[in-house]
Amino acid sequence: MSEQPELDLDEEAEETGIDPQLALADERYEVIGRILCEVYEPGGHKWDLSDMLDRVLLHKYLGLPIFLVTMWAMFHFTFEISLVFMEMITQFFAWLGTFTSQIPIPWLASLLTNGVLSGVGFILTFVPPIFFLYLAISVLEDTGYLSRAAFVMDRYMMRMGLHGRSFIPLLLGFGCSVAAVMAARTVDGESNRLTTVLVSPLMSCAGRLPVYILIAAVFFPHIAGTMVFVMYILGIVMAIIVSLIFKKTLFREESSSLLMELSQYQVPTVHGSFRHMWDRGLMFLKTAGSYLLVGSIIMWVLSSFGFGGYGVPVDASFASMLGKLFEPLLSPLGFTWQIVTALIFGFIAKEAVIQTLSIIYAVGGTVTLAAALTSSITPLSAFALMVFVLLYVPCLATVGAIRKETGSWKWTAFSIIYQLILAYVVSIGIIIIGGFFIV
Amino acid sequence: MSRIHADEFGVPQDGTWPSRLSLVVGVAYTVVGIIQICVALGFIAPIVGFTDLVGGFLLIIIAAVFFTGVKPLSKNEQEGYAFIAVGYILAAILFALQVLVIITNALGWFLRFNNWLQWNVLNDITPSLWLFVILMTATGSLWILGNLREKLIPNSKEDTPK
Repeated sequence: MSEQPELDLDEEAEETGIDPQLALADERYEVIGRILCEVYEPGGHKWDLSDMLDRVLLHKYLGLPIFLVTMWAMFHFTFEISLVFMEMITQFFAWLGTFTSQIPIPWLASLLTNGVLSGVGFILTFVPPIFFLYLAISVLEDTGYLSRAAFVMDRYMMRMGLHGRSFIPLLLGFGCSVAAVMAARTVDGESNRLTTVLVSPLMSCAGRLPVYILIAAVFFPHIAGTMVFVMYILGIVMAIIVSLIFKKTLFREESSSLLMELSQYQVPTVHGSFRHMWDRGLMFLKTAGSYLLVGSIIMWVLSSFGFGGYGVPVDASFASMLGKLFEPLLSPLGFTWQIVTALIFGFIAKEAVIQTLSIIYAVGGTVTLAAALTSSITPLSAFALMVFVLLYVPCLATVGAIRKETGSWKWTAFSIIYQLILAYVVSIGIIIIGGFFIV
Repeated sequence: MSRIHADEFGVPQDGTWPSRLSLVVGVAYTVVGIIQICVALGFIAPIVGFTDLVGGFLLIIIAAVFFTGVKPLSKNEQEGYAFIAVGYILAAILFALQVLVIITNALGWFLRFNNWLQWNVLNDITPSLWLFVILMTATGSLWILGNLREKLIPNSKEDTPK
C-alpha cells in the first residue's frame, strides 16, 4: 500500500525533473518561515560556541585559508605518521619473502615472492596511510567541520557560476570516487548534476594515495607530505576549472544558492571516529584480499611469460609487449614501458598501478621499487606521473557508477575520453613548463 | 556588538589585554612564518627546523586569524574572542601534529629502521612546536596574573560602573 505514493513521486520527478527531496525541503523551509513570521520576536541573541566558531571558520576572507590549513594538517598527518608503520609492514613482508624465496620449485617461489608478496604485500604497506586518512576524514565529519568546508567553498563556486551543492559530492570523492558520483544525485538541476558526475572523478580518492605516497617519498622526501597535499588541492582546482569549462560550453543553466542545515560543532568520540575509520578501511582490505590478489597473479603471469614460455627476460614478457605498444604515446612524458603497463592496469583500480610496478620490477630482478623508479624517470616525470594518475579514469567501478547515474553510454565514453585528454595535456604541460626551470 | 554573554564564556571584563595578546601573538607568528619562508627559499642561512616552506605560510595564516581578532577586541566586542579561540585551535593542531611526528620518528629510531638511523630530534623541533609552547606559557601566565589580581583587589569588579 505504501509503495504506491513513492512510485508516483518518482514518476512525477522524472516527468518534471524536480527532485522530490528538494521539493520537500523547500516546502519545509516555507512552513518554518511562515511559523517564524508569526511567533518570532527579535531580541537578545544567544551566542553559543558553534556561532562563535562559525564566525571565524566561515569568515569571508579567513574561511578558505583555514580550510587549507586543515587540509594540509590532514595530509601531513596521513603521510608523516604512517611512515614508521609502513616500514614495519615492509619489514614483515621482507621477512616472509626470505621463506617463500627458498621454496625449491622455482615458479612457485617466484609466484609467491615476486607475484603475491611484491604485489598484494606491497599494496598492504599502504594500509596505515589509508586508515589514517579515513580517521582524519571521520574526525572532521564528526566535528561538523566538513559540512562547513562545503559552505566555505560554495562562495567561490557560486562566483564561477557553479552549483554550491556540488562541493559535497566532491568532498566525498576524497574517500571514494564511486561514492562521489552517486552523491551527485543530491545536486539540483539536470545540467548541474551531470557536471558534478563528470568532475567528481577528478577528486583524489584513497586508491590514488599509495601512488602519491610512493612517488613523493622517493622523489621529494623532504616535502613528501606537502606534495600529497598539493595533489589533493590540484584535484579540487581541476574539478572547478573543468566544471567552469563545461558550464560555459556544454551546459548552460542558472546556478542556485546552497541551502543546508549546519549542525552544532561536536567533540568527536574516539569510538565513533575509529569505527568509521575501520568500516571504510575494511573495504580497502577486502579489495586487496580479493581482486588485487587475483590481479597480482595475472600480472606475475604477464611479467614472467612471453612467447618463449616461462622465465623469459622481463623485457620480452607479455607485460612488456603491452607496455611497449602504448609507450610511444606516453614517452613525451618520460614514462617507461613499465609505467605505461602499470597505468593500463590502473584502469581497473588505482591501487593496481603501484602493484603492477612492484611486480614488474621484482620479476626483472630489481632490489627495490624506489631504486628502480629513480633510475628510470626524472623527478619532473615523477611529478607528471602523479598528476596523470590524479586526472585519468579512477577505476572501472567509477565508470560503472557514471554509466548508472547518467544512464547514457555517450556521457560515460565522454567522461573517459575527456579525463584521458585532460591527464595527458596537464602532464605534458608540467613537462614543458618544468623543462624551462630544470636545465 | 554589546558584551551580553561575556560572563557566560568567562571572558575578561575588558578587551584591552586580550587584544594586546592577540596582536603580540599575531606579530610573533608572522615574523617566524616569514623567516621560515625565507629560509626555505634560501634567502637566509639554514636554521634547524625551519625548512618547510608551506609550514611558514601556515604560521602566517594563524597570525592572520589572531590579527583579525585585534580590532573587535579593542572595541570590547565579544566576537573578537572567537578569533583568539580559533587561532589557538589551529596552533594546537599544528603543535599536536608535530608531537605525533616526533613520537613516530622516535619509534622508528628506537626500532633501528634504516631510514631513521640518522634521525635527530632537533630537526623536528619546528616553529609550530615551540611557538605554541611559548603561546600557552604566556597565556597561562596572564591567566594566573589575572586571577591573582582579582584576589588581591576583590572590590575592583564591583566598583566598575554598569
